[in-house]
Amino acid sequence: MGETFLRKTATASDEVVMEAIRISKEFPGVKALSDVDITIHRGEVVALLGENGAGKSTLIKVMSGVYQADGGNIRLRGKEVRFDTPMEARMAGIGVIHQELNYVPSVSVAENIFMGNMPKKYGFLDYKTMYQRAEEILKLVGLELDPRIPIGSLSVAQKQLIEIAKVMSNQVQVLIMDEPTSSLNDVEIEYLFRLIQKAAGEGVSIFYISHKLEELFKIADRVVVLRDGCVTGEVAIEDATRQGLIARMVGRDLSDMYPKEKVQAGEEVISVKNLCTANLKNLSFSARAGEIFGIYGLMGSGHQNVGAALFGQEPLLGGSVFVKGKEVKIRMPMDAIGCGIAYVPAERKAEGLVLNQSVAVNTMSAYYSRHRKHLISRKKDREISNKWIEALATKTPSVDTPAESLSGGNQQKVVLAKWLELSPDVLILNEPTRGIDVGAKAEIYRILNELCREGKCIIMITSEMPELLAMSDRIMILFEGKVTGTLTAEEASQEMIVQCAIGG
Amino acid sequence: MNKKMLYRRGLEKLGDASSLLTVASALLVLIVFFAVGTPYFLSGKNFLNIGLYAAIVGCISCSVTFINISGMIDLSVGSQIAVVGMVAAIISRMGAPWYLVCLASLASGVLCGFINGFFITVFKLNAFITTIATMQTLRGFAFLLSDGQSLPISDGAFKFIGRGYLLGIPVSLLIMIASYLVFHVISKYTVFGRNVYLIGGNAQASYLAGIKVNRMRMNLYLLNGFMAGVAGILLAAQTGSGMPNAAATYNMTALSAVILGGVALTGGKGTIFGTFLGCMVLSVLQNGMTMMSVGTYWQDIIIGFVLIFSVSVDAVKGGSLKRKL
Repeated sequence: MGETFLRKTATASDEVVMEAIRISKEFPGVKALSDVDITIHRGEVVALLGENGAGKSTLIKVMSGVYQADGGNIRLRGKEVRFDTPMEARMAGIGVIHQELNYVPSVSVAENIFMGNMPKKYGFLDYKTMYQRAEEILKLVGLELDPRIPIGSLSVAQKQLIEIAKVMSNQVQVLIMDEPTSSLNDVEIEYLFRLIQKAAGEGVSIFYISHKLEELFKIADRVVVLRDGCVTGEVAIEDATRQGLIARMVGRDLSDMYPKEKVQAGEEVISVKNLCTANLKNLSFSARAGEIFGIYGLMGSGHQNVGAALFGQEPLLGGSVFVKGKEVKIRMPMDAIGCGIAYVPAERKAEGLVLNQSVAVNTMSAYYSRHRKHLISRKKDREISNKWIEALATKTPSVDTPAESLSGGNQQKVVLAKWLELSPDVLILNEPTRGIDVGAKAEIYRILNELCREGKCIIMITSEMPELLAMSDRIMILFEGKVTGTLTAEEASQEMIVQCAIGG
Repeated sequence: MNKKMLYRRGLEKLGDASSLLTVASALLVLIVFFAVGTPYFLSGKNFLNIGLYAAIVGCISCSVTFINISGMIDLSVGSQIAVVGMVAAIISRMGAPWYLVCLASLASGVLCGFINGFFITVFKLNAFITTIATMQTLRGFAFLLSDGQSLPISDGAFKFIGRGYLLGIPVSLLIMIASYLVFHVISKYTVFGRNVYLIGGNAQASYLAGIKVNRMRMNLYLLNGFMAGVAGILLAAQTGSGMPNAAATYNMTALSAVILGGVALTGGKGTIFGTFLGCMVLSVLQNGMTMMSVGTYWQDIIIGFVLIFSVSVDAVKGGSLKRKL
């Protein structure tokens, strides 16, 4: 994969396209940006790197007119500009692809592309022109599909490509991409990179924001590192090293991003025989105590469904599940919980947390039902929440803070705390570090190590190859709902995994 | 703990109390205004009167608060109360003692709640649509029970619930206060109460945490039906009759009280105490305006204005002016 990818050649010219000079932005009580300088040349790919809260998002929001800077100025091709609305920035040729895609699922691809400026004829919508132009725009990113179908029926990757096409069709000079790969698999990511390369080759300047260091080495010309609202480093990619970048991001040396510890695997804890659901065919596997069992697959291969099926979210059509040798029937989440299974879902905000409720209430949200209690004990709320805040080093002002005001990593720790309090035998993690910054990721991995040492059986469903390879003891790969390979950590390589993932 | 965190913590505390503060100050302003405006307002007897008239809507607002915090809605409470009132009158006229009348009334309320809960949790129908339908069906049923006639109740013991006084306090008012106390305790100290907030804040996450969301919803509609039973008994006992056209505006009054008290109709937020204050604002306003002989048309206009004004104050305090959407 990585090897087959052509390193981009230096297409960047010396012509400065956009310059931000001494940008400052303050929110009540927080200095989000202080005196940030950043420059981008024609055809250059500049990566913005930083932990969550480092100021990346604020910076791109200032550059794209969502926020207005308190100090400093922005120059576009030498001319000073000021964007009061996102519209003004768009008119000036600045396009943004946001991390969370904006679309109306029930409406056609074409209508989504032209939302806000649909082609009209005599005051009525001109569908013919709209579909025609939509097809042209889709071709920009190599998508051959009917623009009349509702966008909701497409995959996340396709939607992402459409978003890119939409922005590119707008004659952009500067393209800002905010974590565009967070929901893409490796094949799709590679495709995206080719597109970025192509755009850069045509002279578009690109700001690329990502947590994934590996990507930057493949795609960026230059990396700008932010920490606490300040630029802490700026290096050409040739001179950059992983360790160096991480050190600048976190302000400390992370000796090991993936601190995997080998634990002697114990007895078999969960075993699945011939499991069938709408998305899984004859799935069989078993996982043992003290083991991290990794499950990988490309988008739509069904690997995401394994967690849902074992947690009673997807009706089982056949097969059996054994926990500690006993056959169990799982029809809904509480059945699974009763069998000692815990599930950390992929969509933390939609499925893992009740965002407007406090850390304590979230931590305890499974506890009371599990123990069939009817009365709340605030003392217990406090004790248990504090115990886990300490054990997992969760950063929160207090146990009463609403979950929504924590960072992604700390939110994930709250979700973990909720389950760990129930002392599950099997912990299923679906994309455990999605949208979490580097520092917090390493902490989550340490927690997983700790759990392995305690003899928990961990099933880790992930689309992130480095994480999969580094943390798993064994890896199962799915393709079209079927197992196409099970590898041990020793024998697994990226090539073999991808080989299995595309059907063997 | 650094400065940023302290600041956040302060904001959170403020956010919680913010809507309570709005409605509490509104109540205070109204009381001062009417106390100055009319000499009869500020008397013990008048306050008991306010409580007496607030009791019916007050009771149903308790459970409507739960329904709304859980992210659901019930537009049929007025019709439920009317049905219960009719059942009370019919049973009482058959010569049943007051406690049997109450039992039958409560049962009919719970049955109404069950109908709503059934369609919402079994067929998974939208609560808004379901309760619009039951609102009309139950109203029609109330008329059908007596062929549209009002049915007077003669049993003094039953009417005592609505008109009697215990230790100088109206029995209705006592029942309302007891309801608020019970609901307050449920919301703060029981797992059921906490789960109401959880499923309202994020039903999917709650379900995945092992909370039986559908059973919770069913129980909430049963509870709401029970409180419609209580409110229906108070209505029949206060008016001394079963009237099929009664309580038509109670849906909206209860919802207004709940919203004034700071419940988010999207769920997950609100308090029983807030609803209590919201209820008091509406009752004091109505009572005060009547004492100052404000015409009923104007009363409607002013109540609507107070509602939108108070919700606006909360929204602006929450930063809605700075938001684009």
